[in-house]
Amino acid sequence: MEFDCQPIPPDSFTGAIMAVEGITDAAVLLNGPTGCKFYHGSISESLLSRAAYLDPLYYSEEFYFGQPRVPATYLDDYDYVFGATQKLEKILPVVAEKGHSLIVIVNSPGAALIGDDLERFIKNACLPVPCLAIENTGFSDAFATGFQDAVIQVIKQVDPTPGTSPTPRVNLMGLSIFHHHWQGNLNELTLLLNACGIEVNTVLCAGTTMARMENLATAGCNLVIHQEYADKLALFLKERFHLPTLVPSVGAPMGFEATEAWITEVCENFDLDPAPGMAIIKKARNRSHEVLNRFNSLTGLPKGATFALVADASIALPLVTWLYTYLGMVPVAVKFVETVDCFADALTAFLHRIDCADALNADIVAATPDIVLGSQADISRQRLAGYPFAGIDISLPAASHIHVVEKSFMGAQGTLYLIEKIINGLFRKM
Amino acid sequence: MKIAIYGKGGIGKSTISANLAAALSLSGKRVLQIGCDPKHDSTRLLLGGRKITTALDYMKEVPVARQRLDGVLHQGFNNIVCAEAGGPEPGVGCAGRGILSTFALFERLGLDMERFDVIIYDVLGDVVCGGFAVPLRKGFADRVYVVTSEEFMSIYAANNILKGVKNYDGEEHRLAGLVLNSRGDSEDRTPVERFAEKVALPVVRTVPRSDRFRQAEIMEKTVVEAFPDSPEARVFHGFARSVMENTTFYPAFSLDEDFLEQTIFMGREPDPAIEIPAREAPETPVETVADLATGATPVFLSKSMMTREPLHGCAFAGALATTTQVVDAITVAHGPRSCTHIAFQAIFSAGLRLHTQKQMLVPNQLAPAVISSDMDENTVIYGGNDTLARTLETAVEKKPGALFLLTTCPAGVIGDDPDAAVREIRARYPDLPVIPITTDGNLRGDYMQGVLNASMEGAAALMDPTVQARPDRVNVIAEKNIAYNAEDNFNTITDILGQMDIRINCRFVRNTRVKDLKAFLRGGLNLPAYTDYFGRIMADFLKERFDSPTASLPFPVGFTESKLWIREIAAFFNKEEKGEAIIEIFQARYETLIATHRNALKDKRLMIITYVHNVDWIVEAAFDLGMVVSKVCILNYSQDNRFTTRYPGRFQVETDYPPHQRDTDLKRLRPDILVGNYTPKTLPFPVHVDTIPMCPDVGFYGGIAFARRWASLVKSPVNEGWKNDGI
Repeated sequence: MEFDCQPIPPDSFTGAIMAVEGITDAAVLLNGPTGCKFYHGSISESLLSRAAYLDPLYYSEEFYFGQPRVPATYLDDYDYVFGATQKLEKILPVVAEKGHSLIVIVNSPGAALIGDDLERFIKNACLPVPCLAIENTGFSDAFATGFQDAVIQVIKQVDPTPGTSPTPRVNLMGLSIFHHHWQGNLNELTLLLNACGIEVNTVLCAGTTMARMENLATAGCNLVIHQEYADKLALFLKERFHLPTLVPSVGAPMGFEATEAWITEVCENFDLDPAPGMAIIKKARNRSHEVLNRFNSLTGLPKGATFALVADASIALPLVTWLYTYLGMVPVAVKFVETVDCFADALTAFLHRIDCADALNADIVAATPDIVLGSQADISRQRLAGYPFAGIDISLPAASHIHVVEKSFMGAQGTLYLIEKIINGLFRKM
Repeated sequence: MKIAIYGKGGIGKSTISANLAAALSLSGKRVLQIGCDPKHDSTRLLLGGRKITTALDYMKEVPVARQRLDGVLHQGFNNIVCAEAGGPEPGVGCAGRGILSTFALFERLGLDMERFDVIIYDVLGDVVCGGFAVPLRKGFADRVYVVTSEEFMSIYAANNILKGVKNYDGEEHRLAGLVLNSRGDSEDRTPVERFAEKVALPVVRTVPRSDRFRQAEIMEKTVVEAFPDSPEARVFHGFARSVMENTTFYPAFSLDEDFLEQTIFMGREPDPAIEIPAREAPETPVETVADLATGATPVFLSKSMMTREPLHGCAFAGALATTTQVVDAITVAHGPRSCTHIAFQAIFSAGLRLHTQKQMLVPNQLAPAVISSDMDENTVIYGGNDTLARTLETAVEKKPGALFLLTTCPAGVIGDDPDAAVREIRARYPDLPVIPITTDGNLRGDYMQGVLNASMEGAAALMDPTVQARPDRVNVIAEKNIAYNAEDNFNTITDILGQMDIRINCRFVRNTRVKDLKAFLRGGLNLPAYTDYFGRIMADFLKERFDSPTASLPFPVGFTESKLWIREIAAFFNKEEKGEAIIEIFQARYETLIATHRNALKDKRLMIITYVHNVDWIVEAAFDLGMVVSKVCILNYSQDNRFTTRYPGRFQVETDYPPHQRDTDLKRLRPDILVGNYTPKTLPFPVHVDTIPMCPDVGFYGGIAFARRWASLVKSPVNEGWKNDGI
């Protein structure tokens, strides 16, 4: 058999659920079968924990099926024929009792086809808590599309009041709980922004609250982390609230140079001095030099080590650039998961400049890189090929490692963490 | 003969179908009429106005285990057998899906279509979605009549129906003609005649407008029954004769809508800008294709399906977890990417855990060979057969040993016809096994049903029934692919069998190949990994289908089970001496382990709350250690329903245990150790808690492995400090 088994990434359905589950006091109510429920219930709880206990008996009531998250109408064949009226009428009050600030009914792809009138159920239920319906999250659309569409619907429901803030304040956009180490990344970026006197207002939507969502129009601007997950949203916020959006030209703040450029652009936007942020990065650079100096003098590495990368364009651009220019590593395979033209084009041009154009969309297995940065599914596929290499899981699904100390891939500490992973990976491979 | 009668809603299809059925039955034919209209009145005149339970209502009200054909089939006029699909109220649900479900029910209950000379499908007005097109699929209607009147909307609907027929016709044609149900003698029949001419179809029968139809309806009878000698009845007797004698079928042509309006109704010459469809002359008469349904499907249903419990997971995911165990096969998943992603993640997670915890690389779990058709919005609206055909073609290019096809809920709801795509691929690649598996997401069952279907319809379809058993070879069946210790357990079993010079022939279905499945019957005995509900069904299936015997005992856990298991296998292969020698070796070590921990655990009270229905492996260890088993509480579990024990009377047992009773029992029994599958949130008083796996490690030491753990557990503080740190 000549089959190259590729990972199957999530689509817009998962994107929509992750958007809502990224709001700590909002809840998805899934109008769909348990087959769609269990995965999303499990992953949303693992990415943003809300429950104190995991004993399924504690969540044994109808609709929850032993999980604290994503209650579902457990549609079956009969419901597809006759509609889910009875179950919807029954589940809404049950979920409403849980104390959420918002309930979002999301149709599964199958349920979207039978056309249950969710708005009518919501109206008739007279719930004490706001509730909205997403009747169709799309079929095989990009994760980012489902994510942004859901965020927009939530904002429309919240209908934030426009306002101003006396201090520089930004909404962070394009970050979901489905981004690996989202919390650590958020902490790092908040640290840098705060150091420069910029407050983080609302994060759309990773670990935010409904109160923060209501407040989002008081920010001075939106600041994009991953453009793929923010482009539609930016247009919407511009149109609805006249909120400008800053898309740093370097992509996500990964690697020292991109992080410096990122914080500098943000500070320029507010006419602030980036020096405090730069000082944090400088300290990390010093530590980096100390470690790399020793490692390099003993091994000659990481210079000349090869790497493959599978990532969204907003990650790929800064990471490939940094790995090449800062660590001296050579790209042999680069693949985009989701793309935006500006970053994809910039990276393509960069690869041409460094005489590595062949790396774009090259087969990772055939390229036999020393380091693979991607999801654990990408890394596992490489592992099966039998070549020695080191894998760094920068996206989901991640390795089965239980992280106690929060990690980051962004900002100063995130860059140090990547260096740690790279040099240890190369060291083990020697 | 299987006749589909289509036409616009309200055009009189049911009246025509019922009268045709009556006339056919009076000519000595055994007739079945199936109403495929949600308003379920197709057979009313054949049943004297009697209301019958529709198939869909029956499915809802009667548990699967008690469902019988006579619950949905009803005897009508002159022994005509009548059935109604039924369906939702207008504006809710999906009536097309209802028709699919009805036909699936008939198939499952083993409706033998061969019992009838004629089957009539009376189908709702327009071919609005895949569900209503079910009678057009291969194996269902072999001839189609389209009912129309002289009115525009009726002809418009007839034209749409021809489009539907065209989509489902292959090389053979099934259109027998138009039936004109006239609105009266004064009506202008020119549009119908023009339409018939342009689509190259004859008007095979004209049913005149007559008050006798109304009178018969008041009597709740057909005209054929109520006015047997009337001219109207004679029309139907003539129609019945022509139906039976007809051997001419026509290709389906439909007209462009503008062309239809201008030419048929306005009598104008067609606008040259409008492309007129090419017309072919009717083909040489062909015999009706007798590609009939295969008849009864054995009923092997999951526990949830049998008992109508909420479905846990979906058949699609269960099937994918199974078919991807055939390492040289590719599975095509027809549906949106989310469905495949979710199922993929479950498989991948198990593989990842194996790699992380046991450094074991299992390729088909880390990189399962699956291709998603990535059904998009357009596919959902316009049907996914083309997308599916392309995806299957892509899979074939990879040169797999076999190709499995699974469908998701959306594919099932829109009524895609995967069998048609499969037939096409099979015709082009006759040497490649292409095997569709009944899934439709969860429309055809839960996760376990998918596992069952993939094993029985999928992997078993590859088995060569002519293969003979070879000496000292066994098959392993009913392993749990999501159990992280499945490989370890398999290795333990392989090792024990190896000591008896017994080889494993095939794993059904785990980490296997097409050639191993083909040679499955070389294994003279099947060894079930579990004899839970899944294991029992697999054993029954292999016995029934291939007369392949299965050992009575599952992979053993604990000392006694291991001993008995070895003896059973040894006896089957006449290797008793070797078996006893193995037992002797393990016994000495087991007794040493017991002696080591007995002092620490003697007289300690153990309470067990678990989903696992066989706890003897752990109870045995407890008894051997001198512990007291206070109570065993068995929770309801979607995958099993039979609690058994070798120790009746030695401990309290409560099956279907209500979780809320736990605290009362704890206060009453005061166990030293509470064992369950999860650590509970809160307890009424401090107690040592431990977890046991859903799938324990097999072998002599499976139970006693916990002795060491418990011996240290009882020495640990009953409350750990970290528990006070919660928010």
